[in-house]
Amino acid sequence: MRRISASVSDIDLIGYLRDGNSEALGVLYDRYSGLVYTIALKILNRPSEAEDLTQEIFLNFWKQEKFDPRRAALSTYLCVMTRSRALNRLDSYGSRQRSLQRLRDNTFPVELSASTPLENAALEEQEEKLKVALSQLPERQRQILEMNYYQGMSQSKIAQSLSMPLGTVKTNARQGLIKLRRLLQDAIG
Amino acid sequence: MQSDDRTDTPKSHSNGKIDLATGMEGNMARSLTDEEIALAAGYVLGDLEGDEQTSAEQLLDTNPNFVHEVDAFRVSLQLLPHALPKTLPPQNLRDKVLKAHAAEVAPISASTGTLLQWPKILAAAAVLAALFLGLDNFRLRSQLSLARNEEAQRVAALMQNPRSRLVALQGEGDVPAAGTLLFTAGNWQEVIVSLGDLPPLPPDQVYRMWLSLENGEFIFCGEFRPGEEGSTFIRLLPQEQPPEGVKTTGIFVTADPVDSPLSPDGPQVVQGTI
Repeated sequence: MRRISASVSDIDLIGYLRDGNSEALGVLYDRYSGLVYTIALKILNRPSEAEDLTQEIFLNFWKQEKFDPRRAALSTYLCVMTRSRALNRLDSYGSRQRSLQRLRDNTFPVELSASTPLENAALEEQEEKLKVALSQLPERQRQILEMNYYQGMSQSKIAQSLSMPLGTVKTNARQGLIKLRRLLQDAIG
Repeated sequence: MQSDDRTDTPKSHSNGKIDLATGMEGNMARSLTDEEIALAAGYVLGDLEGDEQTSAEQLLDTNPNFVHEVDAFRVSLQLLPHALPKTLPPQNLRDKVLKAHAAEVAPISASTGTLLQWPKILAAAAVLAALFLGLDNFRLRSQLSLARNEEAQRVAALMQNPRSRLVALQGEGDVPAAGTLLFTAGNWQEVIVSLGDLPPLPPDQVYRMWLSLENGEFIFCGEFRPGEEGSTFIRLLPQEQPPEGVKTTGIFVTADPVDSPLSPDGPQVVQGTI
């Protein structure tokens, strides 16, 4: 079987994986398991659950034929899938009704756009840019975006949690996202 | 064909306005106002209601700059996890993943000889599906021809999958609605729905689609509002999957108040059997 270099592109890597080259999954894992596990742990807050989800993400990915690496960044796809499945697991801890409500509250659509320069950059560069950008957001805006993203909370629930008017939460969320997008301007096109 | 890079997309000025030129033929691209930029952010955050939602959907259909802005906001959010301090999984997890993968791959590798035939099998399946599905599929195909190219490609990819299924949808009682649902067996992450002759809805109501399971539970698939002519052609991305081993039995659509809890309690207007 063909040996795979650690520097092989994501596109080639996925090609090898779909050709049945099991070594490709190892390279993929080495490249992205830190990112996937970090998100899983952040949302689920339990190492055993995060490990289980990380395994699920990689085992499902090799069977995933819908993802087209020429049209979207693999790292972003894995972020989106990990977040979505982690939030679904959180739901399963609660009642059915809460689960349904959460699905509604889980407002970020699982949609992918054409990959941007930042998504195609090395993971270290992406980390650095995001850390710098987030550090420049006002604390309240960053907090609201993170509560929405990592806890899947609706704006009304965030308003309750922070004892703030719903309108203030909405304004802060939008302004935070607009500022984040502007801070990443050149990097995301 | 969609471009793989972003060099043909508009760039924002420092004042937040966006260039007119996108190079798209006959487009209605124009600078976005601050209100429209806020609308795009709200759309991605999912906080739009009523008129705002309608305005955003209209802009998505008519203004490429708005589409670009929505994409940029979505990517900005999706990149958030990169700012987290990295935590590496335990060393032994890598071995577990690779062993589990090897166990799953083995049966497939044993039948490698048939893999070469897949392109032919897929093509034959697509032709057979088109013949068998005939009239049921007519509405889907005719609306497909009107759909945007990207959507058409997604539908085509689904239809070429030999595990894809079409389900006929019929109105309940006096509701004249009819249509088709396209999905891949065993994979409920993406469904395409084409429906016509749906009754108009008051502004504070939406249609919601539900998947019913043999264990009596339901999965919310998504919600939509039909166009003025009472038809819709949409792609839904259900965020929940049927539990492993639990069969799906049917699909139905309810009419519900926009702000009502996500529970399939509204009157059923359309149903189909899987």
